[in-house]
Amino acid sequence: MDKWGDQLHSFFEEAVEEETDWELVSPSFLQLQNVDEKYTDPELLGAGALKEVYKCYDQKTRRYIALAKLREGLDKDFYEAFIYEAWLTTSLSHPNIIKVFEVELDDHGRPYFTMDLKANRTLEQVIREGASEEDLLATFLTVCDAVLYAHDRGVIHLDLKPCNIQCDQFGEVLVCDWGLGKYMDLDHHDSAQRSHLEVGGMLTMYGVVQGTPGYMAPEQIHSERPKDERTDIFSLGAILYTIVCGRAPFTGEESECLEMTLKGVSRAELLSASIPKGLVDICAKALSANPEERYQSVRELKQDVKRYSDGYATRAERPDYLRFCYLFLKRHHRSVIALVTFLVLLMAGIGIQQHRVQAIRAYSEQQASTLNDEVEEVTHEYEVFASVMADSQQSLSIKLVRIAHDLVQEALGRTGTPTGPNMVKLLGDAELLFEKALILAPDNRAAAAELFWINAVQMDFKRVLEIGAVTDTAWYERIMHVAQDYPEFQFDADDRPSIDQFERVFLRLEEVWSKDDRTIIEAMLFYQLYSSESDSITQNQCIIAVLNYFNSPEESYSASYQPDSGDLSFSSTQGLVHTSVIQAGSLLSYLNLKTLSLEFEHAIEFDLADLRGIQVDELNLGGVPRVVCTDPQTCDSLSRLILHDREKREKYVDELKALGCDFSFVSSSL
Amino acid sequence: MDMNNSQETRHSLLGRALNLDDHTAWQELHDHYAGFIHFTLQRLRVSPSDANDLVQEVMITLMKKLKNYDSNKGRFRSWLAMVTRSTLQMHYRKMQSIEKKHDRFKDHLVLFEEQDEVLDQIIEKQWEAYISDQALARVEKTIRGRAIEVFKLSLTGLKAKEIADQLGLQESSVYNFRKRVQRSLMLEIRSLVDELESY
Repeated sequence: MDKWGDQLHSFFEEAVEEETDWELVSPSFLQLQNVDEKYTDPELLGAGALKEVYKCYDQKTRRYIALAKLREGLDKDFYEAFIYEAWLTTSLSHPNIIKVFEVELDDHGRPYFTMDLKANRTLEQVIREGASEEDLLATFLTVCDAVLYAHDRGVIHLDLKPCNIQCDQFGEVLVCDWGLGKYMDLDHHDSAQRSHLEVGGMLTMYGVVQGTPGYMAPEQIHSERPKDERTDIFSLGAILYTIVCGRAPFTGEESECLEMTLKGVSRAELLSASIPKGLVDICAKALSANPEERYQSVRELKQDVKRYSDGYATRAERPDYLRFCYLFLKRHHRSVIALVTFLVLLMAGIGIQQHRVQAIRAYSEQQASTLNDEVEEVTHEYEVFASVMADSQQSLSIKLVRIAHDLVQEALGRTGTPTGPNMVKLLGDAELLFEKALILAPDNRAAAAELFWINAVQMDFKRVLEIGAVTDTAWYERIMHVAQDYPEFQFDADDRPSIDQFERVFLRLEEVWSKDDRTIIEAMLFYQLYSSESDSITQNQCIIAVLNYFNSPEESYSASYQPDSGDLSFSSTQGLVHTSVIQAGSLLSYLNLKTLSLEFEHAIEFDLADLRGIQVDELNLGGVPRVVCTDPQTCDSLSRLILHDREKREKYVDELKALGCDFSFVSSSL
Repeated sequence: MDMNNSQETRHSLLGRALNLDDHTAWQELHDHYAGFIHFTLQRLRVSPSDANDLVQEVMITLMKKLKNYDSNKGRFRSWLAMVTRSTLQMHYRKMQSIEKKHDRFKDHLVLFEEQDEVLDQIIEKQWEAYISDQALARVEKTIRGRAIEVFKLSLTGLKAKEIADQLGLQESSVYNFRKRVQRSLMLEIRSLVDELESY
């Protein structure tokens, strides 16, 4: 018990000492403890029929909040409506709907509630200050989101107007004052409590107008008419009108205003007002006197306004072909020009066949990415595009395939051997074009076939399986077999398989593959080598994996490669390695070999000419039983050749000597 | 604004027991005071067999007299010490007269040799020590690991540098850890005092 003794005890004194010391330990706690008045510095923000809203400082949470209380003089009869508003608001949880923090009773037992106080202005002020149409429309769309949410929760607002929408300088928008709001479903579980709040009930009895003239819908004037989402849609239409005209659609004396509301707004009136043409039909539809003629959901209204603000023809506008083209050109003049130019170029290219390849190639290298951007935009619009130019899609698709095909050819080099790191980018560009072509014309088999091939090369087997075998030839089936084994492989230029995954694919390929299809194997390897930033060890492991692939597993065979010295040696108990080396010829040229050593046991003639294209300084054939050379010229890059003693007197040795090659002779192999 | 009654007046444990006659509050209060008396008796070297009876007796007196405590007349813990001391004294005097075996109570002479005020002070200190001990136990529930280790080592009188070396920490971390535990400890002491001494 005495373990800590006086040391611990000393804290007791300090803890209960005067507050100056306590302040040092936890000043915040002390302050919180000493708050005796929670809300201070009230400042009247506004007053409605039922309530007054104050800006107050909350001493406990240390921020300004809005505090709503019943107006002085309103007795208990109004408590219900007041608390109902608070609870209706707490039932909505949306970033653009005002939040109620607490609903409480004050010292006199009168209800009050507190709310968010973030925004410093209302939409009314923002409109008056002359904000841009673009910003105001963005705000309007946000308001639509909030109202849409409330409608989805079964709540209608019934008093939407610019001064009930708070906006702050950071673009935050809050829909406030749900005082007239109600649940649409009158059979709601506690509707008994609410029934007297319904239209024709207490509020109108006390002379409180159900809505705000100028923004309220015609059905709100006649209390017996049902109200639903479309009532809010009318008010949203009036807000939209105010946004673009700078004033409410119905103004003047209250009675005059209500009369106009009942009449509705005609299209002609809207056209004479300063409303942008694209919005006239939206406003007319939203402001229809008959709810049946309005938008039936906020979602539709929002889509049309969004389409307008994005520069689209609206649904309400029933676009005709010319107007559509005009809008399309307006939005995409750059891509349209690019496309037209390109098509002209293409036609010219086809006309002058011998220039075509060069033109495309030059174009492909410099413009592939630009073109891709343009195509992106065009594709984005393709839905709309399709309705106007259905057959153009087909031809555009075919043209895209042609361009992309040239990119593939470029990537693989003239000899079919990938020539450099550019391959990855070219194949990537080609892939995008093929994808676009396939979107434009889903039945374009050429595009599908090319995509199949490229994705196989990238080892994106997920996509390969999605595309599926384009024809029923064995080639597709073989790739499908491998893809089905690794359906989760979804690699691309940036995300490459590990060496282990790479080897697994090649082991599987070895089982199903027909050995004479070299192009895709090489493409896969070179894609791996050029796209990965792997170290030389990993690269070599990939190469060995491919060399293994070229050699039957049953063959007793070994290969070793020293990347530092550039030495590669093969040995085999059979002569088949001969073919392997030749098969893998282009791989060997990639390795920048210095020394190549071969060793076979079988007495098969080895023709030096088969090493054509392989660049090595030194070739060690000491372990090869019989060497011939049908074309000495093919070995002109050799500077040193090691041969078995028995080869000394062969004729080709002299021929090679004449070409300036050094010789050594060994009595045994390696 | 007059919106402040929403926060229910917070009652201390003692307040709840006395003003509201809250059963669980009484139980909790009882456990605390009994714990304190055990603690005190142990420090006064009363044998455990006697201690249990004594705790019972002091508790009965305390609970009976609690309602008479007047905060205007002095601090609660002084009052608590006084009641405890006088109950103990009475108990021993009674036992003495019954058993006439002086020897058995020789060890507890301290209870009779010192002046009452001095004894009260001794017991009051025990209360404070008890509260501090309880507070540390509470802190240990919320702060674990190195911070507590550092703090306990500092209680044994080790310097920050020595603690740092011993635990392989930076000296600045030792200060931070210690400060953190000290802060919570003081808050806990404060809150225990509020709970048990005020209403």
